[in-house]
Amino acid sequence: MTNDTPSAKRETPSHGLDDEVLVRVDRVSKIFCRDFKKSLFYGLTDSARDLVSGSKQNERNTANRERPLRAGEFCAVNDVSFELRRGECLGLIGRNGAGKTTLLKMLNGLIKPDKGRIEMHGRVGALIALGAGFNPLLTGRENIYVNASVLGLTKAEIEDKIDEIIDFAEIDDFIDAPVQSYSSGMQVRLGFAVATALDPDVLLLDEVLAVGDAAFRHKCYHRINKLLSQSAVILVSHSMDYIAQICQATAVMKQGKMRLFHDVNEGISTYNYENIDASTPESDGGKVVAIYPPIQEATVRLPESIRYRQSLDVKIEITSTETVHDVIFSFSVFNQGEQNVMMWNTSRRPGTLDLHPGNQLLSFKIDPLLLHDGIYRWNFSASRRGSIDHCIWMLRAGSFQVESGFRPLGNIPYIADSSSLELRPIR
Amino acid sequence: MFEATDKPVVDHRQTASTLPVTVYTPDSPLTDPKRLIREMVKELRDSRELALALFRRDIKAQFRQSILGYAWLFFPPIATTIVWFFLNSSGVVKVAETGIPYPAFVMIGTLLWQAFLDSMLKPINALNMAKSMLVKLKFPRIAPVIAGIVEISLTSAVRLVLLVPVFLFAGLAPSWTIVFFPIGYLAMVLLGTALGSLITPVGLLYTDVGRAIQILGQFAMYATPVVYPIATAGLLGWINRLNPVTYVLETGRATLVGGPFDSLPMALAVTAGAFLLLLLGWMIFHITVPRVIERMGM
Repeated sequence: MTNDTPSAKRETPSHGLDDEVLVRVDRVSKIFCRDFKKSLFYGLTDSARDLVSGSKQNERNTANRERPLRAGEFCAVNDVSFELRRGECLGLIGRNGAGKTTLLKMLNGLIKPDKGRIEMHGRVGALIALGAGFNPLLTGRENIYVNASVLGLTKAEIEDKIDEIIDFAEIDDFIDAPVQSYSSGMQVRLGFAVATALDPDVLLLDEVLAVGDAAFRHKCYHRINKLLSQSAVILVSHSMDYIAQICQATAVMKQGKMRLFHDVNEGISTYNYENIDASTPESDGGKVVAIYPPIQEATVRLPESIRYRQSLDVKIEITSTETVHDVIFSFSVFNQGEQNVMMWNTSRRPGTLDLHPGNQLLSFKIDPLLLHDGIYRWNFSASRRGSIDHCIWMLRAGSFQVESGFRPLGNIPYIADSSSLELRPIR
Repeated sequence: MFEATDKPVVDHRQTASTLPVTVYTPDSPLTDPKRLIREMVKELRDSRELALALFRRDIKAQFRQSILGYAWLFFPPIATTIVWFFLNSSGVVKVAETGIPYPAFVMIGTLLWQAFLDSMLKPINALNMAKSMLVKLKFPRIAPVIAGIVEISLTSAVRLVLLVPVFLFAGLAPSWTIVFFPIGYLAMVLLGTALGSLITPVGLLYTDVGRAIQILGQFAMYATPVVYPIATAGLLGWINRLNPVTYVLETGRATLVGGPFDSLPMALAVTAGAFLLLLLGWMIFHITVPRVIERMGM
């Protein structure tokens, strides 16, 4: 899947006959309360207000629209609007606590919006929490019956589909065993199978793909793709790969606010940039720099920004007090998804490299650099050959930006150089 | 990659107008009473199958991790009966003349009372048990309650089997009026459910309600002629007469042993009132419980 021209951008599909809005969200907000006791009390007063206000509620609500937040309250979802048509898949991305699940819960009718209006057309299938509602003491089969009827299938429909569900979930031997003996992956598979067996018009999926193994994710991807022809899908995932593969549009949520991107990759990079802003080097999972004697100092210099196919020049100044024989240097690059996208080291280089007392400069080039648009973090380490004892150990110690002028296809980090590409007939 | 969307899809749902539309707004359901009633009836209809499935699940799961299993159903009334039988026969407590052998009297009273108290607490308990499902899955909120009430009705009915040995032991022949006993018994469940539905919204938010009922239930039992015959005079007589449960319980017991039916008119009035109360409680439940579940924690 080589694709390095700007025109490779995928376009939102034209709708034509499928121009049927299934989800309409109009200026929706949801207010939550951080303080649990206060939250319970607000629940009581809200319920009481619902009971007494009656027909005057409409006027009250207009006033309510501007009502100030009560003590301890915050907007979990803030003034969100969008529409989704049949055949579309919206990828909902954002950091933890950005309001993604809250929005899905409102769409599913689990919680009421505090402002705005939601319109859902047709049957809604949702997998908001994995293994939700599985009774651990009952068998898989018994749970299928309970869950499927929860989701609105009639008994006849369930009997019709039960084999397909069991087949998809790949739990044939376990189907008559209590669910508590299932692995979490098995529970997810069963939950997903039940939710999608519903033939929903709208499908809401929250972090489903994150849990299953690779084979199952692949199956899910196919199933969602199949459902897409007849449904509108909203997918919450932290896996940008899947968002990029499945969705035609993304919505990035941040502190309850939503930004819509009709170009999936634009949304993904917005989210990625947001992530790097938020992760200060000192934070957990951030920068690690460890230098052990006899090395006194090591300074890595590389350009802050580089263009695609140019040379990445890395210069490292090292100060040592003693000679270190036969050192292996390694330099690796990670993308925003913490995926290793490039690895370079000197282990196979003929001859040996020694560090001498005093200052020295190690320099190397990665030329051409075949990385897409984005921000990359690098690791650098040095150790004696055959030893795991590093004398320089730098983890996520810095970053550089690549400008390629086009967005990556999905999150696929590295593309083969196709500068020598040609297509010609063979005689 | 997405050829699927370009293919003409043959699907009955392609006709937009036929799709049911669900709208969620912050408005109180009371703004549109007609719609509210429609929704309530629809919710009830939609929950039939689910309630049955939940009921089956509860019954199966309830005693799965137990050796004695369903036998546990019978122990509470047996224990109460034995305690009161000995308290009475040893003279520690002097209960007035009951008209029928005392063990039978206590057993009937206890079974009826238990059905009442269980059904009062059932809505709260059933929803708390279903909490993990309620916060994650969309389904009629009333379904676990219905399943719970059906379960109470049936398990309590199974307990009535206990009356057979007690009647035999006491040498008591049931009266023909026994055919009305199920009605009296269901009236106790109705009374309990009606009161239970009213306290459910607050009870779900604050566990104080459930705890208070556990304790007040004991007082209430002694304020009701469960283990003693209805008092005719004094403070207790006054309390008994003010207590609506008295009439239903007395009448229920009377149907088994053939009288006296002094409490029948009041019992009918109380049952009718309970029915209206249940309708009110159902509406309050429908309006408030979704809001309350939001607050129960995700």
